[in-house]
Amino acid sequence: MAVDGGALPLGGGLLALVRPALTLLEPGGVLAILSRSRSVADDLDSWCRAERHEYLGAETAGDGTTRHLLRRGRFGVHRTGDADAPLPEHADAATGFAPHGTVVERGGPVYPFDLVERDRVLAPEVAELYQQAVAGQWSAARDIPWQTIGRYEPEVELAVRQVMTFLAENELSALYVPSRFLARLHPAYVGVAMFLATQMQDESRHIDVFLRRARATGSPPAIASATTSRSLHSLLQVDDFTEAAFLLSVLGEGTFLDLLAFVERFAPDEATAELARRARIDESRHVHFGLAHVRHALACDATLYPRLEAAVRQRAATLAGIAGVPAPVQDALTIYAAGGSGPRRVARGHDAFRELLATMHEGRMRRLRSAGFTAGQATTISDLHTPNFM
Amino acid sequence: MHDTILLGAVAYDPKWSRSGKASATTSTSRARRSKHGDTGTSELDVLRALADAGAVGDLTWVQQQAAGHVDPARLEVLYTTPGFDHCMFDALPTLPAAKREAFVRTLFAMSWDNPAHRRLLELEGLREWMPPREEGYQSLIDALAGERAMAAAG
Repeated sequence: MAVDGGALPLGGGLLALVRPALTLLEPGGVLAILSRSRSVADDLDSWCRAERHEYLGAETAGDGTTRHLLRRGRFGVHRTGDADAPLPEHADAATGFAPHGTVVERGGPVYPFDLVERDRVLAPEVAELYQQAVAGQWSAARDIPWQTIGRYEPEVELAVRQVMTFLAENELSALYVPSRFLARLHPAYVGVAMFLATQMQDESRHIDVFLRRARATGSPPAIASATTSRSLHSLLQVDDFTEAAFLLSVLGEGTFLDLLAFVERFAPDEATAELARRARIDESRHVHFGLAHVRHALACDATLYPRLEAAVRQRAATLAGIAGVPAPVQDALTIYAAGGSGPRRVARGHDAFRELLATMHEGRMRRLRSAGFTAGQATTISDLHTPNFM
Repeated sequence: MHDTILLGAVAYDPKWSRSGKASATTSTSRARRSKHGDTGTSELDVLRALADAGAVGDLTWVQQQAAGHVDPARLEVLYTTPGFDHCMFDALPTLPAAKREAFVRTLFAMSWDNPAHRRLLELEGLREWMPPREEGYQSLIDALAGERAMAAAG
């Protein structure tokens, strides 16, 4: 192999030709450098010693040009590798943030990534879901017709405020839970990290719109209950990525799909209906991710089902003795659906609430079956799901 | 027209040479201070064209050039000394052989591919440790012997 360095001195650009050429050679390979620079012989010799290459000498090549020969040493990277190589089954934590397909020079530090097994983190659908998420972004400021919010009975305004506060509190957990796993994911599977980033962006926007809506009415402050706090705390404790994806995205956000459909259906105004509708579209993408992840993980690991059931049972144990959704939330959902405080309306609201619970159970069953659980397994898990919905 | 000229492309610390201690038994700390103290700073001053002339070790010279920190239009090599190994570990003859050998074994076991070793090697400007060679110091030793003889003759 040869490079023509013209009159370039070593420090004047010659190395920009020499170094890339050397990365194409195997150790022991010889590179010829044509040069008309007088200083290059001395400097190449010194540079070769510093870099542990071997300067073999020079010969005159006519018309003032010298042909220097050097033998490549064993240090430095060798530009083999395959940019189209499949993702590794086990990623090497020493490759750090190097994008997959690059030639990684050895000698870098080992990174603290511990989600390094492809089949435990990467479902085939993730890349497509990421593209959908990017295309589906929307703006709380631009896309919600806030001006349609009116004045309602104080009971209804309080109910709206309570429902929106409850939604925001739960969505905060959905923002924080993925963040615990994002930094643990090996960058070879960056597609998963990028999807989680869109999920976190979605949750940020949901928190924004739910709190905007909560603050749009002048009712007394809403309540954050200890039951909700215990439920979300138990979610934040989960250290296993698949268990967390299952509890948060399949069960929690899955149940929230039905809750958001309920909020849209009984919304007192177009703004509230629209924000619930948009949030539900985002959430259904997260549920899809959770389902794809769990389905893939179940197919790759036969021992996963008992682990997932154990995770659900463990979480249920922290909420044992709690019969239902926190009372302020139940009451708010009832009045919200009723659209007023008259007894006949409240009776309809109460029926709608009971119907919501049944719908949530049916939805969970459907999603669990779709993830690959048997009917019996699905029933067990759905019955154990948190009364807090998320 | 150069506003800075470079007198040598292989450096030794001028203070070190004047001190009269340029023997093969210079203590380790002395040798390290020579390399990382005045020499390093003054070499870089030359390369930044802060001085009109100076002496620079060839390792610094090519590494600074390789990093793009040298303007070849403003610096020119006027003279290159014969080569010598500029940084060696020395010990008193009283150092037990077992300790010396363990130290040498440890150095030679260091790997450029090991992140922890690599940081130390980079600080020394090395890819790997090499066995010491004292041949390059002969002219200095001869000059010192001549200086002592002249002083004695005084």
